[in-house]
Amino acid sequence: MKSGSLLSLLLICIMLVSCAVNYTDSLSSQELMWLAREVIDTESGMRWLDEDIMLEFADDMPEYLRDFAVVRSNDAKNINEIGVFRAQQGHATEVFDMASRYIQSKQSMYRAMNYFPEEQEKVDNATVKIFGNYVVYSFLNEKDTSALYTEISDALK
Amino acid sequence: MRAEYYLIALAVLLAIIVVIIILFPGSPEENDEVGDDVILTLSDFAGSDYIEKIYFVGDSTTYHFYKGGIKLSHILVPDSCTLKLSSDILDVKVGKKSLTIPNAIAENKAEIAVLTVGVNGADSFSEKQYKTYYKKLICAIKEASPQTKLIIQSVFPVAEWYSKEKNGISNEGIDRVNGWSYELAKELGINYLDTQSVLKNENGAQILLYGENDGVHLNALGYEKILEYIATHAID
Repeated sequence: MKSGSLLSLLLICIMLVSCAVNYTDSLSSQELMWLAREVIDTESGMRWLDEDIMLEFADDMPEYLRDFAVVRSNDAKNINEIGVFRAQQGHATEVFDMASRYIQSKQSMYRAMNYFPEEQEKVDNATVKIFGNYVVYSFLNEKDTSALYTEISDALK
Repeated sequence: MRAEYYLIALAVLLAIIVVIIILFPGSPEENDEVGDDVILTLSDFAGSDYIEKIYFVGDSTTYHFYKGGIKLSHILVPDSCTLKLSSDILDVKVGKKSLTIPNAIAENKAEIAVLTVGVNGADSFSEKQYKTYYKKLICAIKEASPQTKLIIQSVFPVAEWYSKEKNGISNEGIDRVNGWSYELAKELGINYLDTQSVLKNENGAQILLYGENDGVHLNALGYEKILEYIATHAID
């Protein structure tokens, strides 16, 4: 109950902060992803995932989603991953919840199997953020995470 | 007289339907390799010649086949040794090269490939997600290497204590994905190896004698048991 209330408060805070800034809604998720990738250190490159990736989030494509783009590292030993979602007007919180569930599930898997000890920072650092109608999540190191969210925020202002 | 014509016409129609069913039993994608009973049943001991024809594809539980004497060149796993079914098909190491699983099987001209995937994320997969991703992988392998005989192998059980730890891999989850794998094998007409049956204790968990201390992976004795099962449940 206590953690649920705290989570709700946190969500409200995030919403208030994101509402305080007027973000545009004119870029597609793919366009935003192209911009985001430019600032990430992608030595091994990242590949775009097709629409089947959405099954990892929900069995059926959510109606509240306008478009999305997900990329992952080409290197199997590197867990770099970024997801960008554009929600229908007023549905960013649903997308935020969906992405949060996904991140928690992946964190559990990575921690349970412990195959990537050198990637632990990225597992712990996984984040979901709302920018107006956009929701962005990432499994990146601290430097790349910071660069990603600055780029996204700048691109949408 | 008129009734006789109707009867003859009906008989001709039925004969045509029977001929069509015999000639076109189903689309090749649905069933092009085996009959309805896809579970491999007890066979004569096929021996090491048979085992040496097999390429093992999967995650760390497949990588550990080396403990049973399988050559690393016949073990196709990602560099990280972990593999979760997903919308993208991962690369595996072939010598110093990285190839997608289908291309790795094709490049090796594998006669038989045993797929063992699904333990990672066993508790979180939905049926639609699991079957869609597995089917995608199988179809890509079939396209890249049509001559390879595919076998879907059941995922191995984990230790009872591990199953209870809520690590995302429980024996209930494993049983669920194994059931989906079997249904998929039937749908696609691919042989199914029910290996998990010889690794389970009376509670449906891993027999500890076959397990490593980590609760997931098997030891050399476990892989001996698995390879014995594979060799005595061989395809023709």
